[in-house]
Parts: sequence; C-alpha cells; structure tokens
Amino acid sequence: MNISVETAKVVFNDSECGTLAHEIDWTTHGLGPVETWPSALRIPVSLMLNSGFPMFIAWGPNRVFLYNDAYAPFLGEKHPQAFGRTFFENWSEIWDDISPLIERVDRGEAIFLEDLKLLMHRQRHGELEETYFTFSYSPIRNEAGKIEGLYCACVETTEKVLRRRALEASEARHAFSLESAQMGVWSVDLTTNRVMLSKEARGIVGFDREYESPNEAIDTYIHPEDREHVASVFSSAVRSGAPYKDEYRIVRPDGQIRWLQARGQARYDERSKAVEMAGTIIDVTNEINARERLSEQEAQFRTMANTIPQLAWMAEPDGHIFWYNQRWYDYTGTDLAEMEGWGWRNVHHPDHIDRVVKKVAAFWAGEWKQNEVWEDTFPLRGADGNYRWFLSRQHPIKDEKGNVIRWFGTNTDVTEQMSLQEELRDAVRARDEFLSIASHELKTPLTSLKLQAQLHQRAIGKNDRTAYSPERVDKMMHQTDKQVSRLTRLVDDMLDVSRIRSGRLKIQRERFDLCGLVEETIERMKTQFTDSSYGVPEVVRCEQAVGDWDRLRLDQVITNLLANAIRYGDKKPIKVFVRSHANRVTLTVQDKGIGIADDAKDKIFERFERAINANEVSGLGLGLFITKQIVLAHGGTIGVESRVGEGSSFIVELPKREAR
Amino acid sequence: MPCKPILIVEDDDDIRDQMMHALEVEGYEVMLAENGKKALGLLTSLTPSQLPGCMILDLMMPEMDGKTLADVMMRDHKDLWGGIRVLIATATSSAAGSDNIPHAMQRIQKPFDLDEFYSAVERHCGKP
Repeated sequence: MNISVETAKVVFNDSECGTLAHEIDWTTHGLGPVETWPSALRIPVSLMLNSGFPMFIAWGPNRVFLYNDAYAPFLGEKHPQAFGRTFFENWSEIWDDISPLIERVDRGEAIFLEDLKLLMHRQRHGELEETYFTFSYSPIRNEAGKIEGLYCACVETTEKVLRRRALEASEARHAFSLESAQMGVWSVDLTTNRVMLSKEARGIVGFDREYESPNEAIDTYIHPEDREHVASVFSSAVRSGAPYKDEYRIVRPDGQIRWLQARGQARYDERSKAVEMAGTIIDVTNEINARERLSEQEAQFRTMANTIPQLAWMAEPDGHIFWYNQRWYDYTGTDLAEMEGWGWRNVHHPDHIDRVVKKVAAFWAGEWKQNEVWEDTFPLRGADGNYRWFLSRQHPIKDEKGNVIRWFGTNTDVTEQMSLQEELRDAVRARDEFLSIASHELKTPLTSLKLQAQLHQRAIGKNDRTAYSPERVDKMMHQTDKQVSRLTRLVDDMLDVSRIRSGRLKIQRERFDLCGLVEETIERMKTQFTDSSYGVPEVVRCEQAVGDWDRLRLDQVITNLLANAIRYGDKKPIKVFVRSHANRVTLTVQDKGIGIADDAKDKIFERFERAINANEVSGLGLGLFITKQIVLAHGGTIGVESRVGEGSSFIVELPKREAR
Repeated sequence: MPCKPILIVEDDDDIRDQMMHALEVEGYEVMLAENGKKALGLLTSLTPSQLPGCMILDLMMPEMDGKTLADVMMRDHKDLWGGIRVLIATATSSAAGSDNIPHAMQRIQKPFDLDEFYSAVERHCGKP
C-alpha cells in the first residue's frame, strides 16, 4: 500500500484535479490501481497536472477523461464530476463534431485545429453555447507502440473570434457608410509626404492614384484658382493642430468642376511632431449650388417683395410675424418693433379685428382643410389715420417633407375696386329699376288702347248704338290720340337715350328766335295745361333771342321742362323767362311746387334718376337726362335752383353761335 | 238683389274711365278713386251699407300706392273694410316681392283682355 500511496503522490500533485485523482478509488475504476498504470499513462498525467496550459487525456477503450485545473473552466458545471468519467459522457453534445477527429487520432494522426466552432452544454440548466477552440489532438502510445490514449492541449478562442467578427461587421458598416455618404478618406504621411486616398476618395476626385506629396495632389485635381488657398489652409492646420476644414473646387479628368468639403485632423507623435494628417472629403456641389440659388432667391424675393404694390409679410408656422415689406411700414407708418408677432392687430379696424384674429388663428392652428387658401377682406389703418380695404391672402411655404416652415401673405388694396363695385351695383340697380318703370309706362297706354278697342268691338258685336254717339266717338278719338302720343314720347325718349349713349345725338343748326319757339311750344301744349287744371304758363319776359340751334331738339328741351313743371308744380302758376345777352341766351322755367332736396339736385340730371319715388309720379325719369344732353350738345349748361316746398327754377344757358 | 258697388282705384284717367264704362254697360254700380289716398277718403265717407263689395286696385299710383292702401285697410279697419274683395290690376310684372298683397283674390296683368277682366270681376264680385 505504501508503495501505491507513494506512487500516487508521484503521479498526482496537490492541485484541485490532483486531489480529485487522489480521492478516486482507481482499483474499482476502469483504469485499475495507479501503480498498475503504464508509464505511457503515468508520465503524461503527471505532466498534465503540473501544467498551467489547459489539457486533458482520454485513456483506454472507455476513454477515461482526466484533465488539469486549467482545463476545468471549459467544462463549466460538469466539473468536478467530469474527472474520471468517459470522454463521451463529458462531451456527448459535441460528439458528432469531435468523434471523426478522435477516430483519426486512433489511426495515429496528430491534429491541430484553429477556432473550431463547438456548441457546448456547460451550464447545467443553460442553453447550448457557441464556443470556439484552438487545439491539438495527439495519440499516446504504450511501450509496444499501440495507441491507447488521446492527449489534447487546447485553448478557448470564443472571445477572440466574437470580437474579430464584431470588428469585421463594424468595418463593413463603416465602409458602407462611407460609400453611402459618398465620403472619401485620405491621409498624408507627414514624414514621407505621401498622400493616400480611399477607393471612394478616388471616385470623388476622379483620379485613381496616390500622390508623392500634397502639392502633387493639389496640382492634379484642385481648381487652379483654389490651389493657393487649399495649400495655405492645409499647412496652417498642420502647424496649429486645429481641426482642418475647407471647401474648394476640383477639376475632374472630364473637365467637370465640383465642390468638395474636406475635414481632417493632424496626429502627433510623443515628441509633438506632426506625423499624419487624415480626414474625409465629400462632394458638396449640389448643396453649394442650392445654397447659392437660395440666397439668390432670397435676394430676388426681398427685392420683389419691396417692389410689389401689395403689403407683404412672413410668419413662423405658429403665426408669429417676423418680417414685413417696406410698403407695409410706409402705409401703416409703423416699424418692426411695433408690428412683430401679433402687433399687426393695432392697425386693424375695431369692428373687424376679432373676426380676423379668430379666423387666422384657426388657420394657423391647422384647423383648415389642406390646400385651402386663407383669404379675407378687411380695413387697415394708414399712417394718416384713414382706413383702406385690403384683400388678404396667405400661402404656406413648405419644406421637402411638406411641413409648413413659414407663411407668406400679401394684402392688396381693393378700396378702389370695392367702390367701383358699389357704383356698378348702384348702376345695375338703377337700370333694373328703369326697365321695370319703362315696362310699366309702356303698358299703361297699351292697356288703355286695348280696352278701348275691345269695348268698341264688343259694342259693335252687341249692336249697341251708344258706341257710335258723337260724344263717345269724340272721347275715344281724344283718348286714342293722347295714349298714342304718350307711347310715341316714351319710345322717342328711349331712342334718344340710346343715341346719347352711343354718341349719335346730332345737332342740326338753323337760325331762329328762341322766344318764338317758347311761345309756339306753350301754344301746342295748351290742352295739357288746361287738362291738369293749370293756368297756361306766364311768359314773364321774352326778349328776342336769335341764335343757331337745333329747333326740334330745343322744342324737346322746352317741352320737357314744362312737363316737369306740370308734374311737380303742385298746380301753381308756372313762369317762363327768356333773356338775351351778348353771346348767349338764358331760358328759365320756374314752378312753385314741391321742390328738390339739395342732395338730389345733381342726380336728377342722371339717367334713370328722379328726385322722388317711382310709385308716386309716372314717366320714365329720362326727361331731364335727355334735356341736359341736348343742352350740352349745344355747348350750353343747365342748372337748377330749388328749395323743398317752395318750387324749382331750371335755368338753361345757350351760346348763340356754335363754338369754333 | 243687385251686388254691391265696385270701387276702381286707378291713377290713369283714361284707363279708369274705360274700366268704369266697361262695368257700367254690364250693369255694375261703380265708384272711382284716382289714388290710394282718395280711396281712403272715399271709404271713410261711406256708411257700412254704402261700402263697395269689391275693389279693382292699381299698384303704382302717386300719393298712396295700392299696396299701402290695401295694408291700411286690413290693418286699421279690418272689421269695416276687411270684407271688401281686392282684385289687382297692374302693369308691374312681378307678383312676388314688395308689392305682394296676401289677401288679394286675383292679379290681372295689364294690358289685359276685356273677357279676362269681366270673368275675374264676375267670379269675385258677383253678377250685376
């Protein structure tokens, strides 16, 4: 026994695994008592247990597994039970991977494998681990040369492999990002002066080569006008140690000029000597062009915005106005300090400001439908304190992603248009009213004539003798005559208006005495005066007044003025005056009737206008318009003097001769 | 029993005269007024038994137009004059709008046919 204990002491040291070996009762174990072990086993086991390098030995037909302390961690939780079990028991999960190798060892081959991937089950309840091992398997022969065991020295390389793999992935990513960013990498060895360019960098500059010196690179592809500048910026970055940054033009082999942006940083050795300058280049031609276009556009825009007749402004997406054109300041008499943000409210009209603020705030808050244009019309106070009307519009200015980056608005002065529109509306209203009156006036004589004809027809049909009585016939003839001349006058008036409008009112001059014409006209209208229970107008004064005029047209003037006096004269006496002066005559028709209010005095001479409600007096309201046009065509003037309730005097002044 | 008189309110002398003649030859009793104001004066002067049963009313008239007259009659004297049937005879073309008289029986458009005039009068004012 002593011998055996001694022998065991010689073979097994006091390492952890040596102790395990001591404790095992090898007599009942497949290997038998230690002293019976052949030296081919004893010597390697002793060597192994004393080594700090991970090793194991698998011995005998059962491949009993013995290992050292350095190997134990590879077994994980299988250690320490693994010591003395079989190779297969310990490594069943990787048996498929290693059994071909073991067979080769059995045939006498020594094997060395690097970074073999093995999926091991090292944690009792854990999952399979991906591990990598570099190892050697060698056969152990007995004294007779027969292979009885396998010896393995191994090292786990899992960490190294995974790190290398991560590095590869990161390098691939880096290369990919350089490529996708179209970024080139360059470096200048400051000791040899050699210039290296990455594949991407060569693609950017267009020359697939390296350079003996930075100057050679500069002379090869930098734009001649930029060479001096590039050399100076580069060498000052080398000297100062500050980050290198530059923008310059290059000329590619095909003559194309591109803009590059270069960045870099010098590297220094321990003696503070610059040894390398390395960095990147990217092609920024498109950005530079866009930047130039933008600043050009900006300049154009400001010039334009100050030239346009509108008041213009720009706001942040939230509606904070940060810019107005000069015209805004000129019109409102304000400055940016007063107007910035929501200051514009100060120049709005109190009656409109709440509505405008509410509407625009909703718009800026995005409560409107997309593509809807904001539009409103409101008054703005000018520097003089007066308000003018503006049509306000705003449009969003968007970035490529469609986000609103600012609002651009214009306010167009529409005061003129609005008053024109109003005038137009008034004119249309007056015309419609005229058409309705004209229709009414034309229908009235037609009604009378039609009634008369049908009554007569009916009487004849009934053989009613009274229809032929002299009184009835006389009355009928009188009525017919009156209504027909009324119709004629209406139609004539309308034709005159049409002639005046188209400038076809012709004056046929002949020499006659105006006083005589006035008397003739009054004589012709006598029945109208008596019918209306007026006295015949008194021609208060009639001086002989001979001139060159259109007799028929002046007859019309006198008739219209007298008819007017009958209509509005309140059945009070009408007076007519004719006065002769050196080169002109005046005709005055005076009534003592209802008179004309001051604000109506100008309007009564306009087309389709009359001083009082259409319902109250019949007629087209064209008389005074036509009268005035005839007087004007003679080179004369017409005016009215009147007081409400006291009557009116219409005064016509005519030159005796046609003006040369 | 003969029907009640017919009141013609019309500013055109000839038309008023001709309508009167047309009704008289058929045997109607006729009253005349040359505008709304005159008509009001006339109605005020009549005793209830003398009131017309029917009124032929022009719209566009000086002093007081037809619409105003009809409104005043309905508003201020409905108990007395509300029963007088109103026939409108007008040259203005629109029936709707400011000159609309809701209680009018019929609107005769000038220039009208004599037959149309007679049949409207007979329908609303009765036979003479």
